[in-house]
Amino acid sequence: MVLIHSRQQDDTTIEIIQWIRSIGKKTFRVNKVSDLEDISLEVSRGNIEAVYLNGSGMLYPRIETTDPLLQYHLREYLKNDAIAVWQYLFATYLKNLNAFGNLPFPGNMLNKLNVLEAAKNLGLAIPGYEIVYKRDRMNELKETWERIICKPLADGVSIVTDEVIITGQYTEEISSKDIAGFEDIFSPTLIQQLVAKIFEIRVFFFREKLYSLALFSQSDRTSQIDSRLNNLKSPQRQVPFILPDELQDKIKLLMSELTLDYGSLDFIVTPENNFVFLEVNPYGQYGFLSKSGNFYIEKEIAEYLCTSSKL
Amino acid sequence: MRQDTPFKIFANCIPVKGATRSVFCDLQRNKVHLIPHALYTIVTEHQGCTIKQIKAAFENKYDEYIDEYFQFLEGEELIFYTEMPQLFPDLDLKWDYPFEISNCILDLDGQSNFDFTSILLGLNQLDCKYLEVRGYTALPMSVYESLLNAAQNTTVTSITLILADNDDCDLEDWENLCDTYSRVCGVTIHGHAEQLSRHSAKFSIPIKTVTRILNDETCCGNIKEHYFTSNTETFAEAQKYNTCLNRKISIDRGGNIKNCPSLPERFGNIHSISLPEATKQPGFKKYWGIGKDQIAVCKDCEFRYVCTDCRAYVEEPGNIYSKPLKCGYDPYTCEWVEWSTHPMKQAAIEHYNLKTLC
Ligand code: SF4
Ligand code: SF4
Repeated sequence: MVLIHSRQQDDTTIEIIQWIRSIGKKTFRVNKVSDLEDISLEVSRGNIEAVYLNGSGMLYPRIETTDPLLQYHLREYLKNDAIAVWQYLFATYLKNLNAFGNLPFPGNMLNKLNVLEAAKNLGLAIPGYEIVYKRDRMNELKETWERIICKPLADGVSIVTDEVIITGQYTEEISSKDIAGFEDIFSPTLIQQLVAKIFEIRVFFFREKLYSLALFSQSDRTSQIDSRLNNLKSPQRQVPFILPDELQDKIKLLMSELTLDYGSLDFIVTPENNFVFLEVNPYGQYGFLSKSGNFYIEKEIAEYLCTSSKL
Repeated sequence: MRQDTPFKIFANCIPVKGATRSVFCDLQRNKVHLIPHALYTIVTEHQGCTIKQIKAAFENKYDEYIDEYFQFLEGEELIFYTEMPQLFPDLDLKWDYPFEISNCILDLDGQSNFDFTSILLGLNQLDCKYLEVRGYTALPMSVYESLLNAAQNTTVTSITLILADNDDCDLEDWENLCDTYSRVCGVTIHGHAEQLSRHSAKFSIPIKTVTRILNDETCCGNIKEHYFTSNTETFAEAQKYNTCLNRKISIDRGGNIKNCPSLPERFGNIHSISLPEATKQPGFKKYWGIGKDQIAVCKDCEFRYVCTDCRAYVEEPGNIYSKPLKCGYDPYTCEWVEWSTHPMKQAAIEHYNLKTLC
């Protein structure tokens, strides 16, 4: 049977489960802390043949207290304990199984700066970037690069309290007016040159295979900075794309250097037809890519999970 | 307009040539654009060329028309300009589905005395996902409730109800039904005094009433322009499979298991055979592979890959490759006419005994 850990109601996961069932294998879906016991049981019986992980689906128990801070700390405590069990299972019993995905726990996260550095060393073009601490430097960069964007260094922000809601993973353009309002000195901020693009490329990498789409967001003003914010009425054009051979090789090398056997990568294509690497996302969603390109990636993943393991 | 950069069609906008005119099927935005053959020729034969080259190929006699065409193509975002056309492949039109059965029609009237639990068990074994329930006579709400209860915890996750108006039920009752059973994804009440439409309060499920009366399965099979679907899934499936009957199973009012309730072939009765067993009978999949490219007239129609199909009512009964009877479109003249009064169709209408044309 294939162990499935994912968000509930995720369409892509449902499709994976359907393909696995059509091959004649069973699935075992888990997402509660209490499921860990059942996993251990199935592991001890030797029933788990492969693992599929997609996104953060783990539900942690809610402790009823009137003090929200206490509740938060209790939850963190229980969560970390559960994570320790997951990590142990993956380091031992589940280690040699065919698997798709990564556990979304701290420690598994990619460091964006390391990735950019690795890409550069492989000869991939990357946009100019710098970690900025001072307003004056930000102004200088704005002058040199003309247009600059700010990106989260880690996972972006998600703060929800009774008083404020601050969330954001998106890339923002920074104007001179914005900079004027900043403090002289601030905490480290990742600033990147905004490179003009004619289209974007989203690549999904899975076990040495590449599936690519070109995303045309230029005609739609709101999505120029980040094509994830796209217009519902006339969705941006998304069509299959063939990466030049050299780029394919570099992507494979990059993924092997980062020891990732799956992930999605973002590139932009400049008006001069240069390919500029932006980032790798090890938890990238591939459902839309599979549908837009008519790739049937879900089927390929299911087939891989149902072939006998590496052991 | 960029006269000097090669143009390329977006891979999910596919030109299809018909007998008299062509269309552009925009599979991403669900649109079908009518275009003349001349434009079809330009976009298919001159793809990868610049506008300047195309104009020259026509000896600059039609520059104005060509500019006009490209204005249209750009405006609808059907093409783009690129120096690397070789890096943009065509859309792969493969089609696949994990299971033998994806959808089921269940017909009900006053005589249908079905064990819903065993039907849903069978559908669950088949991993069937969609269920369309068509009720021809008014039945008590409890019948539908027992059906929907039986569907819980099965693979049947999307249920559409097309039911006869029931004097005991008003729109609120249907709304409650939708909001109680999360698997219901649409309700149509036929034979109602007026045409109404609304959405249920909680799950926002579309509910509508129509004045048309559906007497029995002979009301099915109409082909209309507004049934066209322009998306990758349908377009790809239509390349090789029947867009109505592929992966379908049905139970008619009498409990006979069929591919569709209107087809003559029966594969047992639900009182005596299970649904999975019925699908294994020889001939069950007879119609599945009849795609539009094999069907007379349809194969010349520009709408062939966005259209639905019907094999139960055809123009020449006995010829399974003949055109759907209830289609009023003629791809040779590009006209839509009322099919039911068409003189050429009267013999077939009589053959199928379509007395009440609904
Ligand atoms: S084959 Fe014709 S009658 Fe049967 S379900 Fe399809 S459209 Fe309806
Ligand atoms: S001729 Fe065939 S393909 Fe064309 S509209 Fe009628 S049924 Fe559809």
